[in-house]
This record gives sequence, C-alpha cells and structure tokens, in this order.
Amino acid sequence: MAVSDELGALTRAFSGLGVDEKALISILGKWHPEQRQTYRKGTRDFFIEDERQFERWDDYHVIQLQHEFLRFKHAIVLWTMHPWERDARLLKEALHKGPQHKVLVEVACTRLSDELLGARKAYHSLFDQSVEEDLAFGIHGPERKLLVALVSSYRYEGTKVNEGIAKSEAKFLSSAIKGAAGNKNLLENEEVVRIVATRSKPHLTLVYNHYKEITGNYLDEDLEGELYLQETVQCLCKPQEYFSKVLDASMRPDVDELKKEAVTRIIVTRADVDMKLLKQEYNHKYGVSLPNKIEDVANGNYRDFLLTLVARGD
Amino acid sequence: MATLKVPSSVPPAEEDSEQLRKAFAGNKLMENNEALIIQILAHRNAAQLKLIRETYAATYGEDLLKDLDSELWSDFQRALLLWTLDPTERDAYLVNEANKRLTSSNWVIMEIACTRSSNDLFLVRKEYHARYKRSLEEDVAYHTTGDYRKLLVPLVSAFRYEGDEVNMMLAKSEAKILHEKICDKAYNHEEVIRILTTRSKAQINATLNQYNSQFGNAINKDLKSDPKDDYLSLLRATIKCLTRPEKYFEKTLRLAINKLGKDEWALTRVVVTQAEVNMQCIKEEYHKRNSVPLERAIAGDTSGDYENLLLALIGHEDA
Repeated sequence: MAVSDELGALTRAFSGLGVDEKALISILGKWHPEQRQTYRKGTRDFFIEDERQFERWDDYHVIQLQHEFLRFKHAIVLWTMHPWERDARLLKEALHKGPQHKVLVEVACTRLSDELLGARKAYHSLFDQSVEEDLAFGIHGPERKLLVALVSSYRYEGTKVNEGIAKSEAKFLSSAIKGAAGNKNLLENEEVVRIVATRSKPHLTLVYNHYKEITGNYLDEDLEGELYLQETVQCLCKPQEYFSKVLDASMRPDVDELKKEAVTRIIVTRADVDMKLLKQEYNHKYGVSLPNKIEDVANGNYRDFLLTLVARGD
Repeated sequence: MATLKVPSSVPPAEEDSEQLRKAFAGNKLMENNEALIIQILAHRNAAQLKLIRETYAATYGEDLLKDLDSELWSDFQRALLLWTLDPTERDAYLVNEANKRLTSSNWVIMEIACTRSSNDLFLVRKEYHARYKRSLEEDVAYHTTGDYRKLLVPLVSAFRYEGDEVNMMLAKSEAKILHEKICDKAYNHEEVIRILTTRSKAQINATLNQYNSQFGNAINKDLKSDPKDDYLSLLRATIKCLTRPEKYFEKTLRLAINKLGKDEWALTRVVVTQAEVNMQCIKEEYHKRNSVPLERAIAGDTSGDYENLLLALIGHEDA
C-alpha cells in the first residue's frame, strides 16, 4: 500500500464503531518511529502540537478510542449473559447514566412479560434492591409515575381483547391529546398513564388502530413532543419500527457514546427475537440493508460479530 | 405457623374423592354430609386438596368445585369453595371479586398485595392472566380512582426485594420525608406512595422505627388525624400489613366478629387464607389482645357447618 493510502487506512481503522484490528496490526506493526511520527504530525484530528514540542494525542479522542476498542468486548459479554442479567444491568446503567429514559422505556416495553419479571428478579440478586425502588428514587420529574408503572407491569399476553373498551380508550386518548395541545402535561393525566402502562399489547394495538380511524392520525405521531409517551407507544405497538429508527440514528457519524451503545444493545437483544422483521423494516424505511449499513460504519471484530448476529433469522 | 391439622395417615385421593361424591349426592338437608365434607377437606393441605380435585375430575368428569358452587351461597359454602381453591387461585379470585364490588374491596386488594411474599404475589398475577384473560393491575387500575388507584396499583405491581439488608441513612432520610408530608397533611403525596410501594419490608420497618425515634410517635398514630377518612384508614392498614401482618389480621378478625367492620366476608377470608400460613401467630395475638381464645370468639359468633369448618381450619381439636 502506498504511504498516503496507509495513512488514510489507519485513520479509517480508528474511525467508526469498533476498530479494524487487522489493519492496525498490519500497518502500525511495521511502521518505524519516523513513520509513526509522520502519522501523528499529519493527523490533526487526533494529535495536537504540544507547546513542549511533541505531538500529543487529543484527550477526548483517547477516551473515544478506549470505547471503540472495548466495543467488541461489551458486545460479547452482553450476548453471553443470561437475558435476565442483561436486562437488569441495562436498566441499572440507564438509571445511572443520565438517566436514559429511552432505554428504560425500551427494556420495559419490548420484552415479554416473563422476561421483564426475570429482569426484576435478577435485579434483586445483582443490586440487593428492587428495580422499581431504584427507579422511583432516582427519577424526580412527572415521568416518574409512568416509568415506574412501565417497569412494574406484567401484561396479559393472550389474544383476548375488548373492542368496546379499546374504542372508548382510543376516544379518550384523542380528546386528552387535543386538550393537552402543547402544554406537555399528558404525563400527569392518570388515565393516559393507566392505559399505556397496564393494557395488554394486543389491546393497545387495537386502541392504536381505532385512534387512526377516529382521528385520521397515528397515535405516536400525535404524541410528537411528548417524549416518554411517544416512545412508550412506539415500543408497545411498533417495536421494529422503533428499533430501526434508533439504530439508524446511532449509526450516523459523530454521535455521542451513549447513542453509539444503542447499536450493540439493540442487535444483541433482538438477534434471537425479531431480527428478520427488524431487517425488513430497516430496509423498508432507509432503502439500504442493515448488513450493508453495518459494513459501512463498523470495523474489525465488532463488525464481524454484529454481522453474524444480524444474519440470524435469514 | 399454620393451624391446619392433617391426619398422620391421609387416605388416598381416590377414597377422599369417593367419600366427597357420596356426601354431595346425599340429601342436602342431612347434617352428616357437611360434617363429612369438613372432616375431609378441612384436614388436607393445599397439595393434597389439589390432588383430590384432580382425582375427582378424572373420576367423575366434573370439577369438585362445581358441586360446591350452588345457587344459595351460604357462609359455609363460600368458605368451603375458597378453602378448596389452590392458594394462588384463591387470591386471584378474591382480587377479581373485589374489583367487581364497591368500597370495602380496596381493603382486600391491599391485604393480598401487602401480606403475600413477592414471589407469591407474582404467581397470583400469573394466575389472574390465565383465569381472567387480563392483567391484575389493569383491572385494579380500571376499577379504582383517585387516591385509591394511586396507592393500590403500585401495591399490586410491586416486586419487593426480600432481603434483610437495610440502609440506615436512607431509613433516616425517608422517615423525615414521611414526617414532612404527614405534617403537611399530604397523605397521598408521591413520596409517601413511593416509599410504601417500592421499598422492601425490612427497609420500611427500619424507616418506621427511625420515624418513631426521631419524632416521638409511631407513624400510625400521626396518621389518625381524621378517623372518618377512609383513605387514611387504608394507609394505616397498608403500613400494618407490611410490618405487622399478624396484628392487622387480629384486628380484622376482631372487627368482623364484633360486627364492627364493613367487611362482611372478612372472617372467612382471613381464616381460609391464613390457616396454612400464619394462623397460629394470629391466634396468639388475638388471645393477647382480647383475653379470649379465637376458638371461643368464633364459636360465639357463628354456628353450624360454618362454625365447624372455621374451627377445624384454626386447629380446634374436636372439629
């Protein structure tokens, strides 16, 4: 490879999700000190000229690199864990890093009832507390009631639904949303919280459909601006679409670490659940296949591992 | 400790089944049939009862409980039906029934939510799915309003940590929070609800002890500001159930026996649900508080088959 090509290749090996281990070994492994210095002097994004005459690695980038090197490890560990432990740890982390409400909603709403119960049991073992007490203690805003209720739910999973009640609940939501218009106080509406936090998923799908019939709009679109409620409805009624959106947003260039972590989280937690549907949805929405997108943005072992998981359900 | 008395050698389920079939088929007015039913059913534990039900269904093609389920629901029949149900089924049944009734039902829901272990409560929620094709919490949420809903839905949804570990700093600070809200008469405040519906029982106990130490009164004393306030009564009962269930059950029995409570089915419910669990403790508590053994109180307040069944379940020797 020509030297200039190598410089480019090395920078690429350090960019994106995960690192390209093979490229790093083959290029860096053979470079003499002068070549490495040329690289440092020529790569202003990563190295700054220090006042004491040496090229210093940018602090922020060093931290970022650490994340990228560990991305493969995190994915493997998360994948190998028992799903209950996995979800318990995801909940704990989401609570402490932020809190990341999206992740809390995601775990609480996209798991099967017994899986969520399992996560709650694992939480007892791992952290000597219940997830609901931790959540309730760590969250203070109007979203607390919704989030605690979502994580405490044990939804009925059969197909039996009550059309009449679904219709009236759809009607209720429509007038509640109209009434709240812009005030963003739907979270304080107990009935709204009751419906989304306790009804079964089949029932909520029926409510979603009736809402469209009554108002001509989609319930989650009308909830635009109501962050927690919008995500809740999307996770409960259209999970593959929700996951596709989050994945795509996380694979854009220059997003923060928390967003990037979503890629591992979603692919690992959905690989055995609905990966086929997820891929279809992603393709449908973004016009590119998920494997191709991953090839574009990810590197090395991390990329290969993701592609293996994504290939399930083929 | 349980008061249920099971004979040291229990007849095979087929024999019990046959005897029961004869008893049900017999002339309903004859006392002997009921005595036989009590002699069998009131002296078998939950696992044995389950086997009898299965054997009966396999042999006679119908559920044993169908025979119990007649048009006129006497106290005796109701007690028998509840006793013969599997404990998880029983709790699910009681909650579902409470949802359909009016006010005093809130107490039944609270009682079950607070006095069962985390795992047992979850089994009830699972059973509820199977029987009623809805979740327990959606039904409770749908049938309650206002402060009652605020309290009861989180109570039935809780999956409390069950360890003994206690965080004393937290207990101190949460005792302060409770005191603050109580002084402000904000009895339905989010923080009060949060503490009572999410903390482990051990943690709540520690918090209430701190409350007493720091502020001089037991919390339930401070919650007695308005004796007519039903929500406050429920709150006090919740606290009692979480920390001293045997005292709660003693009081419930006392009110029921003296016809002071609004809960007409309390006597049946408490005896049937606690016979295999904690009745011995409750009996001792009752005797201590009322200077009269529970057996005598029940005998004085009930009669006939109903009395015999209850006495058998609380371990009375002659029944």
